[in-house]
Amino acid sequence: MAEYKEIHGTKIRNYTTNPDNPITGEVWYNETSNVLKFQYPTVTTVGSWRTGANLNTARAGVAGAGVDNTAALAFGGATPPNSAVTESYDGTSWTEVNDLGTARSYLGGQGTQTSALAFGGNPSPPGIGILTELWGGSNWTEVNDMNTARHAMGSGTGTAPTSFAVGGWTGTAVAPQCESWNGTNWSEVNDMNVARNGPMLCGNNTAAVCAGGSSEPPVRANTELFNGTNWTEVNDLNTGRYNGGSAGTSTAGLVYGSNPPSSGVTELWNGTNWSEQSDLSTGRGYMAGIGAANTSALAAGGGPVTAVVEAWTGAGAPVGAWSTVNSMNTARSEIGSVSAGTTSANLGFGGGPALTITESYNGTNWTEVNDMNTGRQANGGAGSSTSGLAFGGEPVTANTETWNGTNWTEVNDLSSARRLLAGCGADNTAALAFGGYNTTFMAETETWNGTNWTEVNNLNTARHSLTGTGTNTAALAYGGRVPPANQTAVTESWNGTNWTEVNDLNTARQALGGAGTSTLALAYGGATPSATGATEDWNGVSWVEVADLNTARSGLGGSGSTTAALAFAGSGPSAATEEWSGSSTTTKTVSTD
Amino acid sequence: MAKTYQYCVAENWGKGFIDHVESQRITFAGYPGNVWQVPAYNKHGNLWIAKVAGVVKTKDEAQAIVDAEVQAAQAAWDALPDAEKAPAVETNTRPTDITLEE
Repeated sequence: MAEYKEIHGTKIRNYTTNPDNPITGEVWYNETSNVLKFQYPTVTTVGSWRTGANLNTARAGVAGAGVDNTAALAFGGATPPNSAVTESYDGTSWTEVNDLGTARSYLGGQGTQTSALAFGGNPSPPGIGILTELWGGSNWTEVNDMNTARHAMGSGTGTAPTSFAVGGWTGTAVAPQCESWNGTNWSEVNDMNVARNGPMLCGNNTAAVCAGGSSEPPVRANTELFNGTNWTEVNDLNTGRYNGGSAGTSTAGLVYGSNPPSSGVTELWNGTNWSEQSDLSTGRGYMAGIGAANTSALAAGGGPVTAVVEAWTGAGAPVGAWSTVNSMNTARSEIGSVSAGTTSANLGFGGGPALTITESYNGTNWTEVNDMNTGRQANGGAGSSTSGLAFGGEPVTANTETWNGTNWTEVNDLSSARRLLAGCGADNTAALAFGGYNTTFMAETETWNGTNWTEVNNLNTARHSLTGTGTNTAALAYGGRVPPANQTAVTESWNGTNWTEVNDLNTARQALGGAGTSTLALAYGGATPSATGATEDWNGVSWVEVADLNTARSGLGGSGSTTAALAFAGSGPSAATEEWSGSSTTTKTVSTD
Repeated sequence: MAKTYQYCVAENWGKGFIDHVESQRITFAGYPGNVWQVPAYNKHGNLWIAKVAGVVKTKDEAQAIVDAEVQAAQAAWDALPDAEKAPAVETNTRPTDITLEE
C-alpha cells in the first residue's frame, strides 16, 4: 500500500499548535489538540447574481444558448414587435451577429454559443410556431419543423442535438406535447403528468427536470423528472410560478424569475429538493435562461421588456480578504503611488504635507529611498516600482518626475496643472493622467509617451479625488468628488480614444485606492465623506462588494491586481499597509468520527 | 447593554499581524495609537488579541488613547501654513475627532 509521502511528496509534520503560514492542502498534526488539521480554501457558501452587460436590444420572450455566464447567445424576442436580432456574449459585452431567418418571440432555445437551436415561437403571424433554425456559429439555417406549433415552452439546457421542447401555449390552449430533437427531426415523446404553459426546464432530451408552469389556471409548483422516456412527479418548487429562466441539469438545476407576476425568485435543484437562493436584482420573466450547469448561468433580457442581464455564480467561489502587514515609515495622507506595483514590489511617494519622501516595499518591509525633487501631495502616479512616474499635485503643479528605480528626474510638465488627479500606466514611458482640481473640477485627460504629455478626450464627468487603473490604452476611472461637494460612484472606461460611462460603484466615495486593470479592478477605502474600508471588485462589467479593509481610511495609495493588491498610508494620517488576497484559506480539523 | 466591541492596543509587527484568515473571520477596525477594535464575546477576536499580545483596554481607555493621537495630528495640521491646508476642495481636511463604539 502506498504511503502518504509517496502520494503527496511530503510527510505529515507535527507542530505544537499550527504552522505560521500553512499552504492550501497542507496537512499537519497539532500536538496541543491531538488532531490532524489541514488548510482548506475559503469559498462562498451561497450563490449570487451579479449585474452583467446589458443586451444591445431590450426584449421580452428572448431565447438563449450557452454553456456558462462567459459565452452565450441570445436571439429573437419582442421589442415589440417580434425581433430576429441575435447577440453573442463574451463575458464582458454583447455583439450583434447575423439575425434569425424569421423574427419571433417566446421561442425555445438550446445549445452553445457556436451551435444552437431556435424553435417555435409566438403564433402571430401564423406558421411561426413550428419553425426551427440551427445556428452554426455565424448563420442561422432553417431545418425541419416541430410537430406542434407553440410558444412559451420549456426548452432544455444541453447541447443543440439534445434539444427538448416541453409544454407551452398553442395560442388558445396549454400544449401538453413534449418533443425531442435528434439532430435532424423532432419526434413526440411522452407527455408530462401535468400539462402546462411556461414551464422551466433544466437538462436535455435524455434527462431533464421540469418545474413550475401554468395550467391556465392554476400556476404550478409541480416538478417532474424525465428519464429519457417517462415523466415522474417529484418534490415541488417552493414558489409556484411560470415563464422564468432555467439552467443546469436534471440533478443540479437552477430556475429563476417569473412573469406574471414579475419576480426574481431563484431556486436551486439538488436532484431531490428545491432550495431558495438569492433573488435576481430585477424581477422579470420571459428571459433567456442560459447555462449548462447550475453554478454559472445568465438571465438575459426578459419581460417587462428589458435589456438587463444578470450572471449567476454558484457557491464555491473564492473569498478574498485583507491582511495587515508592516506599516510605512512615514504616516501620511494623499500619497502618490505607482499603478503597476505588486504586493512584492511597490512604491509610495509624496503625501501631506507636501512631502518629497519616497518609500519602496519589497513584500515585507518599507524602505526609504531617494526623495522626489518637488514636494507634493494629492499627486498622480503611474508605472512600476522600478519605472515610475509622478505628476501634478498640491501645491498646484504640472510638474512631472520619472523614477528609474533609484532616482527621480524632472521631465516635461503636464499641459494642465492640477491636484487630486488620477493616473495609470505600465511604466514611465506610457501613462494617462485624468481628472483633478485647479480652480474648477477637471475632466481633462492627458497621455504620456515617455517625453511629452498630450491632451486627449475628456472624462464625461469632471471630478477630482478619483482613482484609476490600467494603461494609457485601456483604463478605468472610478469614484471621486463632483460639484458642488458630493462623492460620486461614477465609473468610466477608456479605450485609448474615448471615455465611456459604465456601471457605478456600489458606494460613492472620493480619495479611494485602486488596483488592477480596466477589466479586473479593486476599489478600496475612501471618504463617503467619513472614512470607509469598503472594498469592491470589478469584473469588467459591474462592481460587487467584497471584504473591507481592516483600517478604514481615505487618501490612501496602492496598486496590484484583483488577486493580490497593496493598500498603504491614508487619512489620520496613517502608515498602515494591508495586502489583499483574492483567495483565502481556513484551517480545518480532520474528523475521524 | 452588552458590548458589541472590545478594544486592545497592539503594535503591528508586519506580515501575520492580521492575516487573511483572521480578516475573513472577524471584522477589524484600526484606530490611531495602535488601538484595534474587534468583536466582543468572540472566540476568534479573543484568539487574535492573545496572538498579538494585545493589551485590552476599556472603551474609555481606548478612547483616551485615540483622542490623544488625533489631537496631536490636529495640532500638527493647525501648524501648517495656510497654503498647505488646501481648504478649497476639502480633501486635505483637518483630522477629525473619532468616537469609538460600545
